[in-house]
Amino acid sequence: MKQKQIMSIGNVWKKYDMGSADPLIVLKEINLDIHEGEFIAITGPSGSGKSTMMNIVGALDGPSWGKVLLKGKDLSELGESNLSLFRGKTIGFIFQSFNLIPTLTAIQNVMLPMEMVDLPEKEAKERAELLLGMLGLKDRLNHKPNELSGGQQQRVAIARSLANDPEIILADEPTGNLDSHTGKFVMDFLGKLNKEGKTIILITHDLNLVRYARRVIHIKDGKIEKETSR
Amino acid sequence: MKPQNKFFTLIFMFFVFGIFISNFVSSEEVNYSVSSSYGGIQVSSIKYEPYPVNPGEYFDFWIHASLGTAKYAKFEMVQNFPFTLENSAEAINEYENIGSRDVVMHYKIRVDKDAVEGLNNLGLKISTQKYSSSEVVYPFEIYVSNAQTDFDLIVQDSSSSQVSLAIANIGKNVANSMIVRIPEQNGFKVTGTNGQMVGNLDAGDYSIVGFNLLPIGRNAGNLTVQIDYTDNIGVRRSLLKNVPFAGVSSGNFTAQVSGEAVPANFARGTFQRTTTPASGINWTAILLSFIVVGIILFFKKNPKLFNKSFNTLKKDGKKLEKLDVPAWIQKEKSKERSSRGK
Repeated sequence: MKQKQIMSIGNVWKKYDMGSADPLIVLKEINLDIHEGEFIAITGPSGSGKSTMMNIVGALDGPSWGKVLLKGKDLSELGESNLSLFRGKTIGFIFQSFNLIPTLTAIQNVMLPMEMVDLPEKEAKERAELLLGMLGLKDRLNHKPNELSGGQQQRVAIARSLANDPEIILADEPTGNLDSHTGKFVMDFLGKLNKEGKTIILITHDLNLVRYARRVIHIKDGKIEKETSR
Repeated sequence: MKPQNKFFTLIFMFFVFGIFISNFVSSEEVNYSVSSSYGGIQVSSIKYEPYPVNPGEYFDFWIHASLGTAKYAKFEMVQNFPFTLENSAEAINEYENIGSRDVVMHYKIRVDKDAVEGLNNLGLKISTQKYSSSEVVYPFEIYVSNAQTDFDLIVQDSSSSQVSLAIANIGKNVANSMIVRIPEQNGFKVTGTNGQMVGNLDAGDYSIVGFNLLPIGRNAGNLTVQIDYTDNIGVRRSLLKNVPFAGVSSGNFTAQVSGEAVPANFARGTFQRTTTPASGINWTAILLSFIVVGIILFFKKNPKLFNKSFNTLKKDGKKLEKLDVPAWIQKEKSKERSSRGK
């Protein structure tokens, strides 16, 4: 049975205005439907428009033209605060450089997105403990990022991405700063989350990671060059 | 909401909207990522063209910077091998009392003709204080293509006075205006011309050149061959290759420079340019081509089968493609159409 569509990107263009010069067009005519439970990889060389694509898919930036529907909602019609809330509940982010708040402990970092959706502190703490325990960091709850290794920081970031139980996990070069062993752990964990029903969107230029995905979107010069499924 | 919650919310919003808020980034510890921040300033590479960049040519590089709350920001493109700016005066961009805004910086950068293939770092120096030397260098990775090529040689045939060398272009690029020479060396003496013109040798192609060559002494050893060619960015290059040459016999000689395979059915004879022989007509390929063209035509006549998204993205009953398209998109589309037509 075909899965329900969770995101639809229709005829999306993105440009940057360059004053009196011609605008710099970084995404052209992007059409992409993403379904619930998919593991999709967006790949392409550096400068292909991958990062801009990630910002659009993650609702961190809007298109200059075209529409993005997330769970049937037109993102351009949501106000800034509604968009922020909706994004926080629906999408969990994992970044290459972890992006943990350096002044907060591991558990506080994981609790942060839950504060955003006003989850009571007690519940947030219990859930954060559970998530960090699941990722093998039960004894690192009160450590700050600079007291953790790169692999441990990325695991905190994964726990944070799962804090609000989002339907979509958007991982941008999640293994870029990790050794191969920890990188494999992260990718296997994403695979496990996908088997449990999460939609995984992986942005990478590393063709070794692409094998984890069932659908691969190749971007070149701001356009979808080809799409492969397996 | 509790004050503590508000505090956390503010931090989280800043984190999400700013995409990447990370700790202080130093030039030693940072690896390439799509974006990073320093002193509230976020920088990211938008794109560079062409991709990959070519040695000996210019490329355009656009960087996006979100200045956040910084009162002052200075960006300086660091010119280190293999990158230099077209105009050094344009290396620095300074912004002062600008409040919160986004800027896009454009640089025209030259790649050295001897740049090595692969990822090369290009640094952007960022400082947020006018009279302070405190700054970070943020490295961007730029992929440089390989303009050069490489060759493999074998002694294809030899007689008491003549040697045929088969030379294959085993690199990825064409070698233009290629000349094969036997330079002066111990162990061999060339009688007659010491250079043979090959012309343009495509990647994967091969040619045979012949020389009148006399070994000096009982064991001549390696024959040094000089190959001059113009690479695909117009730079004249010269390579020396050694061909093991154990001795001269009247039969075939099969010493080899390296393990690379060279077609065994080289044409005999000297001074004759040969190319890879074409096989007979491949009817399967022709049939497949017809099928592919048929499928393309079918989908062109049924565009709805091509693109499901438009069926789900309607506004006020109108499909998106029917809405008024902005002029910049129309311009880009016509630019692409005309470039395809060329």
